[in-house]
Amino acid sequence: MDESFDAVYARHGRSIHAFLARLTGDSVGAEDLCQETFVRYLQHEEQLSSRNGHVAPWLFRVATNLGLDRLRRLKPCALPEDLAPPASPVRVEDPMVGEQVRRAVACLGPDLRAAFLLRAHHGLTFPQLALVLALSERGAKDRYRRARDELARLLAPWFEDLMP
Amino acid sequence: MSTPPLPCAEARAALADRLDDLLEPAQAERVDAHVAACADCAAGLAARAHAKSALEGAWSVEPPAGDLAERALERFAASRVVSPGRRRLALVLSHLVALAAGVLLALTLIPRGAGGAVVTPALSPRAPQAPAAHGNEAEPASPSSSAAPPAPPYLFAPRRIR
Repeated sequence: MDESFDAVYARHGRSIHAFLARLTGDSVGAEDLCQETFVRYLQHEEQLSSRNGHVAPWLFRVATNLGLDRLRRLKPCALPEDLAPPASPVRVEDPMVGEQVRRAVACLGPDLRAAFLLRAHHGLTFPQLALVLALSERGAKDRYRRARDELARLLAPWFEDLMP
Repeated sequence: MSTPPLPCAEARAALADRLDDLLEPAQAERVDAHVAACADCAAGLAARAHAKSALEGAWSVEPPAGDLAERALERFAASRVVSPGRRRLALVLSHLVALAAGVLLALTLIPRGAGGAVVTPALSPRAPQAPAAHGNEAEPASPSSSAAPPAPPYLFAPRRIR
């Protein structure tokens, strides 16, 4: 079944934008990259419309490449000072958790950040992750594991219930 | 032969990988069997699952302000239209290419003398017969062209490679 552009955008647009905003840490810049992702979809619409099930990984692959290109042109992220351990650990239900997660993810290298976000926040399967990152399935698992372990290390001082 | 039960420490170390679906099926089965029989590890797995879902759900992103689909369609349409400026540039470039091709063709067709200079009389039927007598009709003499032998009567004269 072919999907119209509007249907494809309605299904994936918000997710692609959220991914780019998380990856680049720039919600406004992510709008531009999201538009570019869908312009490229339009340029390849005919080929993609016959490949049901491959549209989401294809969009994430384009978005990942655009996002990583943008990040490579920026200065590498320095560890924010306020990610220093708190006086006392907080629980994951704390409202400030989202901000701490954002800061910790920003401290990951771009490749690890992309792998973590695609899997943890956007629910890609490992075969899809492998497709998006141009890795073997094992390589995709290894990269995700490294990202997760690095995040757990960064966030452990904050959350007493992260590592029971 | 059945596999030995997983020790508690090993099962605990594998809980994060089990939650993230990173284990091979056989390994996952062993962890599941251990968790089913061990209250501590079952509690550990539940706590990890709770922390994981809370952390992953904690970072929300506001949806984009404008209609990105509409803007993407406009950008796509604009990318397919050749602007007048680009069309003019393409026209100028095509003329330049044609001119360059013409010059190259002319250089190939004009025969050259032994010194490498262009021997224009070769294209004139009268030139071989009386080069000296019609000095006023010939090209302005240059040291190399005046010393050159008469050009051969064929059009594609041998050229020296400089």
